[in-house]
Amino acid sequence: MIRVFIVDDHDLFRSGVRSELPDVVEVIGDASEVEPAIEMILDRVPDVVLLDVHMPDGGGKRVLEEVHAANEDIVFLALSASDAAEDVVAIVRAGARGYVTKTISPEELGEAIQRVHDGDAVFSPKLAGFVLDAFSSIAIVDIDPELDQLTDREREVLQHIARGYTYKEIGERLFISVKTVETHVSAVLRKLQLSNRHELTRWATDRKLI
Amino acid sequence: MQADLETSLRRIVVGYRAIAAVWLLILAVITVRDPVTERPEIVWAVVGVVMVWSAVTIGASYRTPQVLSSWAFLVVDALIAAGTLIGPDLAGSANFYGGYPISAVVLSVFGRGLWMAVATVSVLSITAIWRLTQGANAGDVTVVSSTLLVYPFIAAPVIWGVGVLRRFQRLRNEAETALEQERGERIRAEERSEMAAHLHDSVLQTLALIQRSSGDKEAVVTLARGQERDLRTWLFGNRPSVIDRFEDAVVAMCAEVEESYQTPIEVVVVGDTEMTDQLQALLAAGREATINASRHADSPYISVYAELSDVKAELFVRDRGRGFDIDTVPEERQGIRSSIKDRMRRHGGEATIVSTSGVGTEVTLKMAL
Repeated sequence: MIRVFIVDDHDLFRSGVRSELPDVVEVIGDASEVEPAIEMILDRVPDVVLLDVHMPDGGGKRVLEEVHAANEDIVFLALSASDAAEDVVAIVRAGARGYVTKTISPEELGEAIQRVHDGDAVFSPKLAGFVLDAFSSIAIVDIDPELDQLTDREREVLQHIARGYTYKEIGERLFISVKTVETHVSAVLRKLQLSNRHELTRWATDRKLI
Repeated sequence: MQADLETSLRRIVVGYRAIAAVWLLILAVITVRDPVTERPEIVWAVVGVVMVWSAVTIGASYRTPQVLSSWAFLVVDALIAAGTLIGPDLAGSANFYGGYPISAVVLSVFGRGLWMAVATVSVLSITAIWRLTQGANAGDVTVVSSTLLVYPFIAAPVIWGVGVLRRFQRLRNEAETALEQERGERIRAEERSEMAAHLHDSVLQTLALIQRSSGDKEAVVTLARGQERDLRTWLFGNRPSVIDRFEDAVVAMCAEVEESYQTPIEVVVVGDTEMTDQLQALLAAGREATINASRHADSPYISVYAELSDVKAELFVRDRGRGFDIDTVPEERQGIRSSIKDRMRRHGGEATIVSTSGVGTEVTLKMAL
């Protein structure tokens, strides 16, 4: 049983997720505002927090940062309806283990929760596109070349995610195991989070009109 | 091209006439000084006629070249040439006509071809035969008989050569015309299939939608109006190019299809550039693939992914619907063949469709930029 906490200011979404999530997931609480969310998460210590990117009072990013400041082990999966690049990239760089859109089906959301709980990363097609775009459109002038480039395999995996393939399908198509797909995505997530170039943030904010 | 060959030939012919006239003048001066010559005034008269006539020929070739091809002109020309042949007999002198009679043969070949040349050669030969028997030089058999033979000999290769040149030129012109015609037809055919593809994409699709929602009057009116607007811009304005960035265009295309067919579309675009005709074609093919997925696949959602780099553009349309067997799609269903595959091919790209029954379909469009 994975213990999940939901942070979202839309009541409908909260109750919808609560009722639809598969049985392997137990929702242990939810919050619609930043301050109570931080307090309750630190109190109840869920395995996974479903976090809406767009929240009033500093948004989901503040929840994530303050919770992580106190407890690094709590895993965050970001959700949003709008896919604005700068918000999505910002929340992933702040430490979310993955990002999915709210149009995701309940089963897929269940899988995504399972996956981040297992320590892997979850990318929506949109996020995969953002990352591909960011890593290809920024000039490589940086300190750590290993962090600033995607390998061909990582790029290929991201392209398949963007094309709408699941991890399992990607594994079949590229003749690799699902575990290997997960490893590639996690590596990309790490690069996205650790790459300390300012360009990445600037790239994201330049793309306000997504 | 025809004009170029004729102009060159005319320059050669008239140039030869000028040289022949000068040649005759030089010989005439020598002849006049020769004490044997009985009546030098005849020599001068012949020189005068030849000079005037040569000037007329050269003048006509510049101002009214078609005169050189008229029967009357060529007949007069042949008679004057024959006159230069008789000149020495009348003047009681040595031969002084030089190459002038030959210039008449050449001119007649150029002007009217074989039969005029035969006529001119005949006139000159008859004159030569007369000289052989009657003239003052009748005794000089070698010179006069060689005069008799020289004209047919010269006329033959000239007629043959000019004929070959003209025939080649004609064949070449015909080939060029055919090529031009074929090129025009190809362009028209391309336009036509572009038009057919567009009509298929827009009008036929809208008609299908109208049939499906024929009970809903309002929907029918909206669809018809939208289609009318679209068709008008396409027919009377430039082809639709309202959005000039690739990414915007892909997103707009997906939004439009989503609105029309009510299947959610997840669109991801990597890379961006100005729209080009090529990308427009890629987008149009992608639009058709997306519409097909929306209409036929029965998929909960559709994924559209486009990636641009400096050297290529790719667009993937994937659904998780029922899939189909490509080989069983009947010919008359133009969608895949014309709107997707042919369109991609016309613009230097390719389309691959992979469909698995029960799993879904992915259309892959690739184009080198």
